Amino acid sequence: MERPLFFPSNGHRLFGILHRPETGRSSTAIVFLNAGPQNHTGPQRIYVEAARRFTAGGFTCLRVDLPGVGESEGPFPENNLDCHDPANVRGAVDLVLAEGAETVVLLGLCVGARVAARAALLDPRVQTVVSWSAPIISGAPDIIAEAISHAAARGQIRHWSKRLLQPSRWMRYATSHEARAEAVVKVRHVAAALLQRSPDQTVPRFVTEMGKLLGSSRGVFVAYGERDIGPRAEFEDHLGSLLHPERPDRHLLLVPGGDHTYAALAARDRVIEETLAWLSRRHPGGSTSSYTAA
Amino acid sequence: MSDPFFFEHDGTRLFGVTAAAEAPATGTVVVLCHPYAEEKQLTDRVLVRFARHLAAAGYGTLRFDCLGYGESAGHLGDGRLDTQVSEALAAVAVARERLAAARVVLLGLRLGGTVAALAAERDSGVAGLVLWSPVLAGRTYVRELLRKKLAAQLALQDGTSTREELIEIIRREGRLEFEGGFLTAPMFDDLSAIDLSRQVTRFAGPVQVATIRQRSENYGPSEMLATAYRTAGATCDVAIAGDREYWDVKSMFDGVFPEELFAASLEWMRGHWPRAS
Repeated sequence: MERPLFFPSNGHRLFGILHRPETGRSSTAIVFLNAGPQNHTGPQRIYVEAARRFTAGGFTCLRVDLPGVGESEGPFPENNLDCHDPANVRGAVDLVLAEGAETVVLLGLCVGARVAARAALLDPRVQTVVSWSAPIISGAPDIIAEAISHAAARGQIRHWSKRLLQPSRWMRYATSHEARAEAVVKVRHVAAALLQRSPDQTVPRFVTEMGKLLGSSRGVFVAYGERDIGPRAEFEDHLGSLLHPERPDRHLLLVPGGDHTYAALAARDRVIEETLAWLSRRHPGGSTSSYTAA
Repeated sequence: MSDPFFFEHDGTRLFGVTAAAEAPATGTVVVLCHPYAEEKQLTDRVLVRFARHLAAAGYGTLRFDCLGYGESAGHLGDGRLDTQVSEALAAVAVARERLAAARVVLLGLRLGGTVAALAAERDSGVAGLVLWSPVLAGRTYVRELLRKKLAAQLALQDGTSTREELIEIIRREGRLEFEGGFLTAPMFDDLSAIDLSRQVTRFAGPVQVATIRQRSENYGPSEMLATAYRTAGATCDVAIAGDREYWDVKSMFDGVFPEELFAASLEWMRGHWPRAS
């Protein structure tokens, strides 16, 4: 069952779509947070698809519009990686707890993953974070592409080096003006990042925050598309060592063929299914609710 | 204050959001039709903000999601152009009932503009049309869609295709993966067949056709569409706004709103359906 509703949060009136499983309430609720300025449906409706599958798997889901996005009022979010105030997530957590959930998961894609991590650090009621394609230092390519980090530049060089021997690559650049133009922009960004005199000497705030989250007792599921080169490289460089593969409450998924928003259907299916499988293991009560429908 | 709800049409659960007009109301409700595929997400902010402007100016509004879009049931590829036209007409009926509208105006953006124009051909009760950069020529539009698909492949560094190879996939497999769903062969044919200035023959109410200066190649076709409406007995105004393109990824992240277009359409609405004095 899907129900549109408005609810208060930090002085704002926010919009959301609440999904409840057919069996009634679930003990685990997953709150989806906006991927930047994109509304509660997510890029290419990935949040709708994920929430419907998670609900079929027994979880309650709430897809939220943070202030200024979609149906929620407020100024439109600025184009930066921390455009959402994590304090505004609190009302969504209040709502799902009032709906009968005992365990709260925050899920976000791109900028939504950053606000999920930061909101979890502020709110002890959040037990788990699902982080899809979190930008660690640089913005997503073509969106906030003014600068990329040293780590992302190195990742891009490694990626290119594997492809330089492919004749089809050279053919594409020879025949496509768009491909050449895109390559020139990328080469400029990579060169600028590699030529910095003091690359990445200060630890960016989000690296510290994500590090705290990974050092905490909360469960963390991290996913990147294998073709989301910059953010993936930055995560591996700065935070990969904190994942502790022996801990079952930590998981890193690299999605074959996936880009930043898992635009290919196979990639989208993979990230949703693997997330659902991990959440079902971590929160088995979520899908076998002790509650009955109100 | 907006009011989200679900409604049924032809056994499909569709999602809509109404907003009541602020007093003094005009008695006019505007039903807004969204664009195709991911352009819907990329322009969500535009339609939401304009709906708020309309409500403040005394016009009730209904925004709705077609089959396979937003909160409605199904997936992109489940519907066809005719399905969307039929859903727009269902939304008009819902708007009349829920908002007690004396008259309903259809507003559409990009393919939504085309859908609005085709719906108005079928419902003589539609009082007016506002068409923002409607898809006028299907052959041009499908070329644009295929170019987007090629650009997406390029970004993903997938196998190289040509436009002809993509069309071959649509013909051979009946569909092509596109922006989180499928561009099906029937929909591809529906879109290719659009020739809007030849398809409007009946609607005789007031029409505003709006385009943006950045898309100057549309001026000629927009004038042809206006001529077609005038021939059918309608009054038709063409507005050219100076706004930059507002339906791509960059304009969404930059928070671009076509304020000049908003002002032109609001002024046009006020000229036809003013608030009671």
